[in-house]
Amino acid sequence: MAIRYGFFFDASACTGCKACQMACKDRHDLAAGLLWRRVYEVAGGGWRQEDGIWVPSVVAYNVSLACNHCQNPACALSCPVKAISRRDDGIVLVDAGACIGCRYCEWACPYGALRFDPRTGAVSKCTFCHDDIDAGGRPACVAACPQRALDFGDLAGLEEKHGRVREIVPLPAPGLTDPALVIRPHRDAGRAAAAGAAVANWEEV
Amino acid sequence: MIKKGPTAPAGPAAGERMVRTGCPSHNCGGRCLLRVFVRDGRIVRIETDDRPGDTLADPQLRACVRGRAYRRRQYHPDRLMHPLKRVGGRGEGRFERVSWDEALDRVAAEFKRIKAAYGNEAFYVPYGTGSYNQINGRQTAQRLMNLFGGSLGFYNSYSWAAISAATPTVYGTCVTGNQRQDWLNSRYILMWSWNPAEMRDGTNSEYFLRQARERGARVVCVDPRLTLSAAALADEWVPIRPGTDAAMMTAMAFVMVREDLHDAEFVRTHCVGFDASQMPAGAEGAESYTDYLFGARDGVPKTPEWAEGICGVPRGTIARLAREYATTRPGVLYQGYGMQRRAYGEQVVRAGCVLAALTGNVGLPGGWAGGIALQAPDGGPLWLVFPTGENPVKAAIPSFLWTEAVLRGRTMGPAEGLRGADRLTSDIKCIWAVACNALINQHGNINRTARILADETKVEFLVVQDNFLTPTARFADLVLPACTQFETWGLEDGWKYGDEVLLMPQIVEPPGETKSDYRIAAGIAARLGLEPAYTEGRTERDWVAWALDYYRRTRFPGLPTLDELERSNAGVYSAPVTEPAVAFADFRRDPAGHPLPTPSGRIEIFSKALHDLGRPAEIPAVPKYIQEWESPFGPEAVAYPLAALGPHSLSRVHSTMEGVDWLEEAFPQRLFLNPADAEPRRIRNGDTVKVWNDRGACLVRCRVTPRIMPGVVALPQGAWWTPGADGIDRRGSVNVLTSERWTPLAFGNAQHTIMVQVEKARAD
Amino acid sequence: MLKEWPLVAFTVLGQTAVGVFWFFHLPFLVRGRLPAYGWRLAGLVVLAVVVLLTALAAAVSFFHLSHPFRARRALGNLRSSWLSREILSELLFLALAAAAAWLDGFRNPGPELERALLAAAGLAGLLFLFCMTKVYMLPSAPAWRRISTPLAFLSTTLVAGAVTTELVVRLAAGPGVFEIDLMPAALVLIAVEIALAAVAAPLGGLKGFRPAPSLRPNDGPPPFLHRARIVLLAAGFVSVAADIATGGNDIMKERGAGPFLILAFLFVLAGEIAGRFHFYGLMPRPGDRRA
Repeated sequence: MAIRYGFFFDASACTGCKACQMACKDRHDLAAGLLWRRVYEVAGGGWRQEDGIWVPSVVAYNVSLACNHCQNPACALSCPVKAISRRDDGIVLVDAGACIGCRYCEWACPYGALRFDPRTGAVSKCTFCHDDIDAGGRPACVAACPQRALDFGDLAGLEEKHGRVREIVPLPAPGLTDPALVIRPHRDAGRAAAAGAAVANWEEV
Repeated sequence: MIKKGPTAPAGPAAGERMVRTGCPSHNCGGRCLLRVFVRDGRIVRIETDDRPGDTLADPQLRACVRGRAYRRRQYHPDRLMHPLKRVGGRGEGRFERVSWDEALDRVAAEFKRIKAAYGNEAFYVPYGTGSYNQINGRQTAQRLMNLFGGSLGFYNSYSWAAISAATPTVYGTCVTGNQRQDWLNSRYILMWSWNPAEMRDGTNSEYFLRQARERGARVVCVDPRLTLSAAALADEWVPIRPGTDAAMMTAMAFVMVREDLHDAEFVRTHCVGFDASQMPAGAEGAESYTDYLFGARDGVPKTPEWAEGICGVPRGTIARLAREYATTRPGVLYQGYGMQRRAYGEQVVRAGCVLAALTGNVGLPGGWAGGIALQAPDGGPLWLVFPTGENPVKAAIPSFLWTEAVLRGRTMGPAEGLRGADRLTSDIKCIWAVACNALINQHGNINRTARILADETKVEFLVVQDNFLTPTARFADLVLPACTQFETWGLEDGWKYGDEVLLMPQIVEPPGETKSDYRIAAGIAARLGLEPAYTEGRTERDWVAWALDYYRRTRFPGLPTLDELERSNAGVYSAPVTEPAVAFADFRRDPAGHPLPTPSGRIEIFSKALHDLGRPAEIPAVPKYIQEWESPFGPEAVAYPLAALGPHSLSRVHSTMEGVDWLEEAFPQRLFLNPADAEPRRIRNGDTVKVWNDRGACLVRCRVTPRIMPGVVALPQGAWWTPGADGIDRRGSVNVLTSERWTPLAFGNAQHTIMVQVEKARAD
Repeated sequence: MLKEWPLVAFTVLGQTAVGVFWFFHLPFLVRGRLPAYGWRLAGLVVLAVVVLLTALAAAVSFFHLSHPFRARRALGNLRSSWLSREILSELLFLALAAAAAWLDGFRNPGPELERALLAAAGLAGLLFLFCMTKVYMLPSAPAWRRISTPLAFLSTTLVAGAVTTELVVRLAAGPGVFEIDLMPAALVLIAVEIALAAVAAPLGGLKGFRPAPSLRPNDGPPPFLHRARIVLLAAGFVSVAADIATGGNDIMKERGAGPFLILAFLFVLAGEIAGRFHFYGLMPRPGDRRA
């Protein structure tokens, strides 16, 4: 069976150190302002006073996200010039030379993975470091993680190893695009929705 | 256990070469391996350790966000490229380019003049860790100073002053830590004021904690902030009011003793001063630890109810944690350093050590003795071995008290921490600051320090050597442009933990007129007629070879030679830890045969030495909670009701790497505060706020977050002091708020003990 | 949000064009007879205005492309991209309207052909409107994937269409020649749009509907845009009413486009533009909230 590449992200181990994001920026020489991999800080819950003592019920964890190289890539489906394509191994790539810069895919992607690069006038996104993959290497983010909380590989293999969770707060429903993503949830993920947890670092992502 | 990834990552592309090197050291807590890709003499990419295997015994040394962003520092447009001399007043920041000859002639002339006028005690090469490997940093200047007749010395540091002084009062040594792989044997880990994910307390510490937790250890984090560590590494977060940790630890001890959960046999055989039955000779009637716990002398039993009002931690939580830690053995109580950079920082160090002793976790695999925890069996890495030679000046001050030595050095004596002399013969008149932004930016109370340095009658000559025009450099009479650690040779070994040696070959040429610290010092040496003695004919690379030989002789017998290391491009030599060492294992087994290097030979819950100082209010013989000189319980809280913390941020290493765009993007400087404090002040997330107290003020944007305790705000330390015309800092430099006051025993900095007020800033 | 101005201009101009086309031609098409001779000139002017507005919309849309010279490929993904379909439907509407104008002006087509052409253009306008709506009804954009999007686009079409048609006709054909009076209709349509906008506020439509979880920030466009839209539309409403009260379109009076009609046109247009900026503010671009 053909390989379909995907990412594994261990939210229970991620400290939010952003080494993955930085490795990506350095590997692909992204200017400040352009992020292919982002680390979303999820925070919620609150504090109540009991007998004069502040007691927390706070939810906090991180979600590191690049492009999920979806089976049904909303970006590619929405692109009027077919500048986004999906390889046989599932890697979704933008052809910057074909992109007209209409930026419609930015809205179409529910994960915010498509990012406009003012230097090229084209949208850009995670390439799964396909050059490195093809040469037998690893995506820069995976190789970077000090917590070994990121992995990549054939999606079926990742699912076998880590389960099939691919939806935790704040990610949208996976049915939209069928993302190639497997997540090991953080302990707080189960009560995140009830605690009203949401992305707390919009200014960083 | 550890999955192995593909082991054939993409190598350098055509026209590129790849060099493995130690990440430039600025005294973060990590020592990591980089793979630096160079094309046409320019660094084009930085990757990290890819050694196959990645086992727990010898894990990859993966760099953090700062190492990965290093290109943006290396090629930052603000880098100093030429020597500069001051043309305006001190601190105005107006400079003029001069030649190296003029600059070095001036340094030599000033050195000679000041030596003739004031003697060698007037010279000072201050604490500073902006460049911190064997061949780079302040030690290169100290070596020359020592040849020149010496300079006023210093001891301790801004990082560890209280913990390095207090740990030996309990154990007689600072080597109290097991090797980290031993955490995997623990069943319970209390991370107390410890945030390895943001400070990087040893490369891979977070990773070992993750592994310990996956093996079933329960991890609890006690911290005023829900730090990255608390969120990712712990099962439970217990917020605590800053500066009250010793009270909670005391109450935990109370619960353990009252409920008979402590290891009474271990205490009886291995400790001294626990109760009246084991008081040291000469202090028989003094207050024992149980006397303090149960209020025998002061009438106040140190119950969880007592601690609750002080710490803001529910009494039930305190009692539960006491029971968990006492009964889930073996366990670790890891003491972070933030809580000892406080008013009575010594107490919390001692209190934590005592808890470890009460629970019988000392000398045990999976246990932990607490304290500063340098790594068993030998204290871990060697830090700096570059031979500075002997300093002919024997007098030394605590590192934090240099401003006092500038203002009134000749009146300083042992009561203010002076060692090696009863009195100084001179105030500090000449400062040679190498890779040091601690004169202005990292010292307490910036506005005061700035006034001191601006007075040209006090420090008569100030030369600063750095990569950038730091806030400290802006006060220099002469600024000397140093190259980065990628541009010269260097060598480092693990920081506190880690049994690795990392080679740092010169990778690219120094740009502009920059030179290595060593080369600059050699240039000054030549003008003082000391060059042959200074260099001994060695280049930077030769000194690396020298240091490698030293390492090989003392700690790493299998270490390859420099030529071998360079040829293999391995970058790192590591000694795998297959059987992690356990501190005090011998002592635990046989306390009489292997006594501790304390006066009693035992764990000193009661310290006779401290008792004999006769200052029980500030330096009690048993660890106590003492209300800080600025606290929510004092009268100062009326005007300044919020406790402020200056935690480490991943966007900088202290003040190094400030202004690197990729890092500012990842971790923008913010004041963090709780919605409960923001709402009454009508502050909304993202607003610019003013933070101030009597010492200073700054304007900074805020992040309103539930991840910090109500009543506490956090302003990550290290942002560069950037005063506006009104004197108010614009970048959020926490040290405009901090104090120059020092701790009683260690003479250490207490920069986290500050109270402030916050309001929404008026639009400029 | 303000940088989305080419899209604001494109949608408002395109929708106005469709509205003008419909308002002018629908009565005739419905009644099954072509405009009387006196109307030929007005009809020609209206068609010219429609063509001009549509062409302007197309032209201005180039301003939001970084690579306009590659835009000829924009029809390349009709199979799955509503954006391609939108562009095609716009071009179709433009072509049919232009053909009708050309035939009207330079040939003398038979009534059957002309009616067929006008009907086809009217349907193309509807298709254009439909595709434009679908472009924004993205599954990934819950803030847009709501009934309020087609309602907003339709109300722009009708409100701006009605007022603009009235203005063009009165300017081109002079008073007293239009068979129906659009001003009462405009009055009702503006009132409906104001009501819809007011209803959207309590229903959360102002900040955009964010089902948790979402990877879009939960803060919407600045509220002043919503207020500006309502105030401007209300001013348009008053102007239309004043126009009616002063007998603006009384065929017995010799009055062309009076000041109230011009004011009504300007207020309505400004209101629609404010509303459209608000609409784009509902969906910030990824990274837009970065420091």
